[in-house]
Amino acid sequence: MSDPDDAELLRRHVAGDDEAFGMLVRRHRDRLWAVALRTLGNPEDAADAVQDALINAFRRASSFRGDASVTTWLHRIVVNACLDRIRLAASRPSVAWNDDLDPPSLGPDPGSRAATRLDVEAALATLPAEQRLAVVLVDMEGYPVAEAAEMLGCPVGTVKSRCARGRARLLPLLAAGNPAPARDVTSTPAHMDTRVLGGEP
Amino acid sequence: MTTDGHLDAVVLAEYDDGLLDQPAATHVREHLAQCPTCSATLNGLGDVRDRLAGAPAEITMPAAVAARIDRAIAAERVQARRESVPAPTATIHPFRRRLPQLLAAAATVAAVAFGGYVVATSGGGDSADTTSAEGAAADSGDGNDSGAVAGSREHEAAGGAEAAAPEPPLPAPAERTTLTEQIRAVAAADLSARGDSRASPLFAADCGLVLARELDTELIGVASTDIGQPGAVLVVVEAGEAGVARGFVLPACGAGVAEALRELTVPIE
Repeated sequence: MSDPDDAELLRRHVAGDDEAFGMLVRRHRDRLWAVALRTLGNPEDAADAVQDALINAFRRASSFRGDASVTTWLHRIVVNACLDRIRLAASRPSVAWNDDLDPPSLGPDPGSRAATRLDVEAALATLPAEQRLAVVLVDMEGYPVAEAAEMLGCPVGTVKSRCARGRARLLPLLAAGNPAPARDVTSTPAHMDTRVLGGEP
Repeated sequence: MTTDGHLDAVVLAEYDDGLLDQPAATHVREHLAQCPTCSATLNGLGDVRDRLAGAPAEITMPAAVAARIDRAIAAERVQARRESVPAPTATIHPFRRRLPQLLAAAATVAAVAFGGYVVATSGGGDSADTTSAEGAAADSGDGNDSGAVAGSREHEAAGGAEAAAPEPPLPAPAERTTLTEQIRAVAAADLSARGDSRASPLFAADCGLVLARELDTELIGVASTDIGQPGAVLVVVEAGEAGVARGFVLPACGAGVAEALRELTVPIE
């Protein structure tokens, strides 16, 4: 017997099946995690965003109409949760970076070809959020532009343009010729493993 | 388009993606043919694309994060059971013998909001005659409804001594009222007959009794619901205070308060 597809799992969840939503989450969480982590740049915010998104999906499952794939629908919810976090961070003066500010860790001249070659995730953090999301979904996750446009809620041409601009901006950071440092933002800091992660309200 | 005589990286990236119109693309192509610097930039953009594509599409979610999200979803599931509006359609099966005809007709509960089910039921029971009662049974919106009416009558017919009392006619065809109105009608009923007609054809005689005993209160009625869990029932009990009744959606007839999927407080007045 083959596994139920995503839409079937969502239907079962709406119909009251306690197991269906968990199966859906396990099926997609590593991909959703990759999107959130790369978009937000740190595991704490990514965990909050994915949790918010999945709770939202849990509640809104009955509104899923099947005109997009479940994958697209889930990504769109995660994307929106990430954007919410970015907006929240931007509204707080204490946060180190946002769309208008380059992170301080990039050195004196991030626009120069002389800048140190960074690992992909760190380089992504230098992009404006909209370009970052487009690059993550299309160039890293490999989604077709039309699907990414649905996830982002914007026209296909806009996604293409953001990808091109994003790659141009990453050029001095990621083009060949400089050794890549070992830094890896995708690893989990030690405190995440021991922290009490209670999710109940 | 150019910087220091060279093409901007954005223009080259757009060229690379085929986003430029024909004249612009031609201009870029001609420039690339005689500019090693811009050709190198274009190659660099290819490196960027390759590095992005080379990153894994999935990153394993840390176990602590996965566990936290699982817990949050489990908590949400519990919360949803208690709070979500199930938009039930239910057919009320009164336990009391001499209920007002609204309930005796096994009204269909359809829809709505927190604390207030809309009930598709018979309106003016007072004025209806037997003929219209037949119509009520036949014309009711859904199959459940008419079946329940039939069951209710069957019970009435088997009611023994009390059946001698003239039964008020069944009500006229459905109009919408609220569960609150039903409960109010129940409150006005002859309480001396309480518990007299427990034998609904669709529910066991003790359906809802476990809950009523836990709450140390009296059953008003039981209804089937369509909240999405097979076998779920809506049990309505006395609230023990004036003007209010309590409704519980239970996963099964024999469930107690702790198992309630949803609780309603229904103002009577």
